[in-house]
Amino acid sequence: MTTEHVYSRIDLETYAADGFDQDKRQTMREHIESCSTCTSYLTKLDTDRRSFLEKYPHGSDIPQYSQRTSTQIRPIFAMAASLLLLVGGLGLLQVYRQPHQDGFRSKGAVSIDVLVMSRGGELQARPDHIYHPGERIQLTYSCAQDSRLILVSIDERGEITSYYPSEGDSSISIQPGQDIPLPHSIELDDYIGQEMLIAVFSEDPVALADVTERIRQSFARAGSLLTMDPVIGHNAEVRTIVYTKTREG
Amino acid sequence: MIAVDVRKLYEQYGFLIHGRCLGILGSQDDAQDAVQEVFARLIESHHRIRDPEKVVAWIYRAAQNHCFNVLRQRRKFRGAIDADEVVSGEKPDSELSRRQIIRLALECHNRKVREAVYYTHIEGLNQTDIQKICGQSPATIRRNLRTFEKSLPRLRKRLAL
Repeated sequence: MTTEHVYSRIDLETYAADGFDQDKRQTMREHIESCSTCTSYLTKLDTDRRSFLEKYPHGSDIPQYSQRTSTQIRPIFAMAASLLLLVGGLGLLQVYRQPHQDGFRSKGAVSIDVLVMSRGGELQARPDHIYHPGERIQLTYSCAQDSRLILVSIDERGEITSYYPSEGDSSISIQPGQDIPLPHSIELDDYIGQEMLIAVFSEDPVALADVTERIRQSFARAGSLLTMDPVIGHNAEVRTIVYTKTREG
Repeated sequence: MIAVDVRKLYEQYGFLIHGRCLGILGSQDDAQDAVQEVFARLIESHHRIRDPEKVVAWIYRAAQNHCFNVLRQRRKFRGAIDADEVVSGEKPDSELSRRQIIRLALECHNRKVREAVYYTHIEGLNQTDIQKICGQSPATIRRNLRTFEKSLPRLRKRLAL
C-alpha cells in the first residue's frame, strides 16, 4: 500500500545524509517504507552518492582550510605590496589605496581591485601597468555580505564620472564574494593626470546624487586628490584607488 | 579549535553539493572545482550550523551563491561584454531552457527574486523547502516570482533570448 507523500526534497536529502536525530529518523523510516515517491527518491540519492564517491573519493583533492585562506588573500597582499613599491619608486604610474577614516561598518572587509584588459581581451592584475586613455580596465570587488555599491571617479579638476550605477540614480546591488567582476569593463577617458576611483559600499540603497555631492565637498575641502578623504556618511565603507594616466608612447 | 570529521562530512554531503553545482555549472570539471570550494566552506562553517537538520539547506544556498559567482566571473572575464557572448545566433524558443533560466536569474538584481526564481524553476523545490533555504514566506516567494515574470520580456530582450 502506498501512503500519501509528505516529506519534501530537503527532508529526504537530510535523511539520506543522516542529518536527523534518531526519533525523527524512525518516524520518517516508517513513512518511507510505505511511500513509493520517497523510496524512489531515496534510491536515486543512494545511487548518486555511490557514484559520486566512486568517481571522487575522499582524498587529497579536498582543500585544507589554511591553504584556501592563504590562496584567497595572497593576490590582494601581493598587489598591495607591489602598489606600495610603485608609489615609493616609480613616477610614471602611481596607484595606491587609502583606507577610509570615517563611517566604517564592522561586518566584514570590502575591497576593489583593477584588472587590465590586454588587446586580446585577457584580464590580468598588473600592478606595474602604465595606464593610457582608451585602455579598458575591469574592476572587481570583494565583500562579505549582500551590499550596495556606487563606484565613481574624480579627476584633479574635480570632475566626477559615475561608473556604477551606469544607469539609474541609486547604488547597485552586489552579492558577497571574492574578486567578483563588476558588470562591465570601463574604457579610460582622454583625461591625462591623476584620478581617484571611489567605491562606496553600503548596506542600504544610497542616492548617487548624494554621494557625488559629498565627494565634491570633500574634494573642495582637501583641495587635491592626494589629500582628499571622501566622507560619505550613510554608514558606508569607502575604498579608493588613485592612479595616474599618461599619454601612450 | 573545533574538530571536524572531514571524511564523514564529505561522505554525507559531498554528493549533494556536487548535484547542486553540476546542475548550475553544467560541466563535471567545473562542478568538482565548485564542490571543493563549497565543501571547504562547509568545513569552516560546520560548527556554526548548530542544527544538523539545517546543513542541507545551507548547502543549497552556499552552492547557489558560489556557482552564480563562478558564472558571473566566467562571463565577465571572457571579454566583459555580455552582448557579444549572448547573441550567439540561436533562435529564441517559446520554452526557456534550464540554461536560459539560469542566465535570466543571474540578471535579476534583487537577490530575493533571484533566489525565488532559482529554487522554483531550476531546483524545482516547493515553497516549504525554499523557505527553509532562504527564509522567504510562501507569499513572498509568489510575489517575487510575479516580479520576475513581469520583468521577463525586458530580460529576454536584453539577453536576446
